[in-house]
Amino acid sequence: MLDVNLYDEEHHPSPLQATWHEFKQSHIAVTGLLILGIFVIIALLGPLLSPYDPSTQHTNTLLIPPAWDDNGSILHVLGTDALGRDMLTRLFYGTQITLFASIFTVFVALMIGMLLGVIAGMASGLRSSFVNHILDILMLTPTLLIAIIIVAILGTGLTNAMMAIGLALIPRFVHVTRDFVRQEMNKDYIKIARLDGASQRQLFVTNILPNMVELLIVHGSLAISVAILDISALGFLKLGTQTLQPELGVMIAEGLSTAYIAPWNILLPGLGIFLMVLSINIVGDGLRSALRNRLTH
Amino acid sequence: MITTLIRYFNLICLTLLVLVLLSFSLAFFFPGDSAVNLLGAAQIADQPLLSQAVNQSNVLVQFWYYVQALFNGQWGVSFATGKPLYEDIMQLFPATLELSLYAVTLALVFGIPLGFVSGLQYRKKIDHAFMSSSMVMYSFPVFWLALILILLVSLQAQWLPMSGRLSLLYDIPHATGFILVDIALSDIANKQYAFHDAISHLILPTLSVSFIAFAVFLRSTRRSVVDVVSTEYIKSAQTRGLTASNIFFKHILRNALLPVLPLLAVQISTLVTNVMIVETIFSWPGIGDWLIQAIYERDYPAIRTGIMLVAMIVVVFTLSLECLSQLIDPTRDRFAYARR
Repeated sequence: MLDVNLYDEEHHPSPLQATWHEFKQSHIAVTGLLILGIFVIIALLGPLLSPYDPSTQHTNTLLIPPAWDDNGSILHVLGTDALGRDMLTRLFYGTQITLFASIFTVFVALMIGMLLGVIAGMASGLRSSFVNHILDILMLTPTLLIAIIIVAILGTGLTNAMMAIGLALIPRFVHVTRDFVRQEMNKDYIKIARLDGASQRQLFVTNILPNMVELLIVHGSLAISVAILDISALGFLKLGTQTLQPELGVMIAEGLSTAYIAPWNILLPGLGIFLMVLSINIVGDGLRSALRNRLTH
Repeated sequence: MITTLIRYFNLICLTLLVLVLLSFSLAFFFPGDSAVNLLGAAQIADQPLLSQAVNQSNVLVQFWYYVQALFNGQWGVSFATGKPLYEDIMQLFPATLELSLYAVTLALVFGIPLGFVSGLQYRKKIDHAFMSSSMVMYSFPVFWLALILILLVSLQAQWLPMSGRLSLLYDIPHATGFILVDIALSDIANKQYAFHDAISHLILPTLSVSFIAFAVFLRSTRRSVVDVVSTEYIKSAQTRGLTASNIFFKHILRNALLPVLPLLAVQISTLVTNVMIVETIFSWPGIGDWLIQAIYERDYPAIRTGIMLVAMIVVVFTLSLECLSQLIDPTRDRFAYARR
């Protein structure tokens, strides 16, 4: 007799495991996840690794090119900027600020958006119409306009920039949550739970939310890439992070004055933003298709 | 159809009213005296309605006069220059519109056909190539892209100018505000040189804006083509023995283009942000560059009016596109909010 009974397999992969299994099929998505992991590690550990301070100015080492250049120095692997600050150190700190500020912004926006989305999705009649139209209008408003209004009222700063971007992101999450909740509310399992006497809150927390988590993760990851682009754009326009903080967009703006003789000052921070956004987009796309594959199988 | 039109007209009017209300209230939120924030100066002689609005004690009456003043082109004056905002904006606005128009056209002309190619070649080599390159394209920060273009094309190769709209050599009178149209209308000597110059100024900003929009259009067109191709009616058309070209033109093309229009509407706000950033980098004399200058100078009247106008344009464009897409395809009802 065989020891293994093929027909009595105990293990069923959980939805999360199934999604991960689908995600692994795409090598590009896994590579994206690796790059993103490297960025997160840089953001977490980078400041510990570097011997320099991001804002200390070394007047005898101005505009040193990266180490692979003939005039480069191994002491400053990626060169220095116009004030003699070490580029690599600033990139570490910049990644930290840009990445974590974006993740935090998206997290807060996601929480608020989800809450509003549930209200909008479960409501009906005039109230629903009103809330939804207001949100649509907010979604139409370009991020930069919201940022300009907030900067004009409250002044510049990273917190204000994050607030503006969060405000612009909330409607996306509301949209996603609302459509999903509305779609689920008409399904049979919700009706059964309702017949069992579940309240609106119980319906959402125990029945709808577990089904929605993955969707929110996909949209959240894509929103992080948007947030990174926006935070660095605001930093670049001097509307967000101020000059003292080494944010990646601010670094590009500072590199502008010496762009011709020291192009690495704008190329390297930009490359950082680009790779970060690219890896997040790849991961988000991979997650989305993994989810789609899992649900269609 | 009439109901749809009326509903959208209603929605647009209400939204615009909300925007006017917002811009009016901004004058009170901004630091400083609200009357000065509205007018832009302590006294303006040639804008009676707006001055009257300031002099009222009741806020509602103030708002009523403010709306009237807006309709009469009395938008206040700028803190920085002291010139009437209405004239400033009317000078700048066509430049922005011109840039966005060319960029969107370019992105559409290339994005949608290539999206079709990609969608019809689903999961083949061309599709993978398009998908990965468009993913790379829309991950570009627009300001970095513009700077790289300037570094490579303007500074290194010196092929194209890096800022402005037209070389100072040409003095084109302001007629429509669209530089190419203005040159065509004007009667200066070396017209073709002026054209050449204007176009060489246009290339880099247009490319930077359309680069990202192109990638988005390509991806969304592809998605919608893939969705259509996998439907049952395409399969049944194939089993009926229709030729590939017949299926494509009669069934795929129209049905796949339907969802693209509302996607276009959603993209407008991203596009406006990108246009504003690109304008700042290329010193393009448009409304975006002007607004960002205004925020550096804390020019509150300019910010108030500029934001209101840009938001209005975005709302009108987006809602009209959505209205159009619903007229073409009545099955997707955006007004289902109230009914459910």
